[in-house]
Amino acid sequence: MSTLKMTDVTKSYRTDLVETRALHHITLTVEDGEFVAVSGPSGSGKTTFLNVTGLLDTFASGTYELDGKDVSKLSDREQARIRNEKIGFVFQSFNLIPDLDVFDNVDVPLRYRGFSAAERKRRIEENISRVGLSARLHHLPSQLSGGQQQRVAIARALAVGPRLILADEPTGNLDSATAQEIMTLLHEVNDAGTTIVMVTHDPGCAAHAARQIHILDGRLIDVREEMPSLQSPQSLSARQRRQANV
Amino acid sequence: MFLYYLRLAAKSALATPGLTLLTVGAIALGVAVPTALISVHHVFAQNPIPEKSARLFNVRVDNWELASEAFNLEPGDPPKHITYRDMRGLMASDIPKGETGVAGARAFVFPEGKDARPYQTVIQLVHADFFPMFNAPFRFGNGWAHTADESRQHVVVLSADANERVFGGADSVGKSIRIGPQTFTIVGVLAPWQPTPLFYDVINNNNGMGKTREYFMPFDLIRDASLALKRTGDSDGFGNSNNDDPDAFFDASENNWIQYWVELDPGKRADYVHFVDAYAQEQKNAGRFPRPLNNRVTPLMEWMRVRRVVPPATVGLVVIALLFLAICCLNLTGLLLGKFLSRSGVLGVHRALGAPRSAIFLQRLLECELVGVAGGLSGMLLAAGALKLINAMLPPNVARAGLFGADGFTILVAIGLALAAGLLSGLYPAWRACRIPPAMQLKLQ
Repeated sequence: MSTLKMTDVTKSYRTDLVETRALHHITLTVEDGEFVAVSGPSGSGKTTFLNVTGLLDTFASGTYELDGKDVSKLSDREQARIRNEKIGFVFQSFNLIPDLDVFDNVDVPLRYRGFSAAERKRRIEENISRVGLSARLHHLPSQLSGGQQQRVAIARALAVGPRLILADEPTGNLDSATAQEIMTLLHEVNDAGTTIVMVTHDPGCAAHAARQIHILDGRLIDVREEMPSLQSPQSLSARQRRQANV
Repeated sequence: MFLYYLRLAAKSALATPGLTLLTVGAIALGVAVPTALISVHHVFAQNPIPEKSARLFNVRVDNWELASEAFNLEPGDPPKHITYRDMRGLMASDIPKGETGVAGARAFVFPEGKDARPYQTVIQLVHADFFPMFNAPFRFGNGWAHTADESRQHVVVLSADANERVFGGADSVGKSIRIGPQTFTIVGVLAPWQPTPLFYDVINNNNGMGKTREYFMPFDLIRDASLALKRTGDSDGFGNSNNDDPDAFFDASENNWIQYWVELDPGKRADYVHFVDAYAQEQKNAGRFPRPLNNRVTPLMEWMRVRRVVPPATVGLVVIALLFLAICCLNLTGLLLGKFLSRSGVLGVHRALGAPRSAIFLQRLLECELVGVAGGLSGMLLAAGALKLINAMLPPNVARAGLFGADGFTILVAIGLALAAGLLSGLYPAWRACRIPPAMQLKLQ
């Protein structure tokens, strides 16, 4: 079953004089459990693609099914509910809320979900423990390193049990050792069955993904279809590697 | 979720302490001025006897001549007082449950004791019904009987202040006190009683803001020449008032000097109006009352409006103060808009994590209201200070402890204005903040 299915999705930005086509007839299917890397030069439309995928932005035409449900014409409230229930976001600049400590940051999506206090506490502690930050539960983001902040962001994304993680340059602000730790963590999340779509500039990070997609001038090039030879055993997901016994 | 949003709002407010303090200060100032003025207005405009104001009526009849106009606040109104003889004529009716004239007379009081010094005071001339009609509370004894009115007995009721001044607050009922050349028996001592406004005498007693008079006497003692009581207070008349002949003055002059009150049971007003008109017609037949029938049986609160107990300037000042608050709100709208837009990134994160637009709107509005309440409480303290200042500036003849003060009403006004200010200031910024697409908000992070 596919987690997301886009057909002929188009989006333009318009000013008084100029119309810029950010996404040009994007058609893409991402299956459950896939780890997809989206790369491309600056201004190619990667972030717009991620925003449309995450229902953070609208699109002009085409259809978009998320987890089998057409989300093209949902109300704001329904979109918010789907973002909360099915999508986890990991951003380049972590985007933790500076006034809230680690516990409360992870608590935010759980509050919007309407979980009981006990359930929220269980999920927060479980996911903070999963990213190895149990000792920092009541630290503010400013008291954490970049790598720790990104771990909290991942814990927050995972807390609601999403079907899809959308990661926008998750290692962009991290040193290489920390970036490697974060990629390992994302691999573990993917191994547990969560679909990941990750925008990245870094070919090294992209190589972690089972499938690579390029976006150029708003057009999508699926490397799996166009250049299958580029797929390496290292780029397969853990599940695929297990299945292929490599 | 409401409490959670409140917590988020508090954290957001504390995240920018300087801006929050500025906002609280602006609201405090904007709220303090109208709160103080509305409290002053409330003191003037409040119902001084809510439990029975609907049954108390001021009565006027138009005895005025054709050749001139009576001295009125509104053209066409009958004179604000009535004559002594009209009071006697109206008292013939058995429709009212109670009736009393109210007027003032100047006299000297001679307290006993070697160190006591005589002092001049204004005696309140009233009838026996005055005390039960106006719910005057007694600490000792009671008012006098109707027979004391008719027989002009030398009895007196003291206010709590007078009893404190002359008898040190002890039970003085049955004791005597010399007023003018005669001795009076004290039949009652009031408990502290200060209706605000002093509704039964809003013409003579500082527009209703004066103090309760210290001595109350049967009205007709004004006719007892041996007491040498001197009428005092506002009066309007025409023709020869026969001031040199007391009996002629009371029984035949057209001098209006008495505020006349009746208590009517529900449903009796029409009957009583009919009686008053019939009385006026009778006077016409006797050659008086040359004008068309123009009599008034005015309910107490309407009488307060007729007499403009609330100074028009107060209303004007309240309006100006509210405009000042509106200008504060406009400025705050700009400040809050700037703040919310500068924190767009945080709002974008909330949106990405599942907050609908309505949640963002509510969170931001709650932040405005939180700041508004803080401003309102600060504004209330400022208003309390301003009211103290106003009290301190009052002339001695109206100065009373706490005439204007911060009470439950002031708190309600301050909080109400602050909530309204928070809402007015925050509505547009909150709406703008929730309308920005989350992708755009995150871009601003």
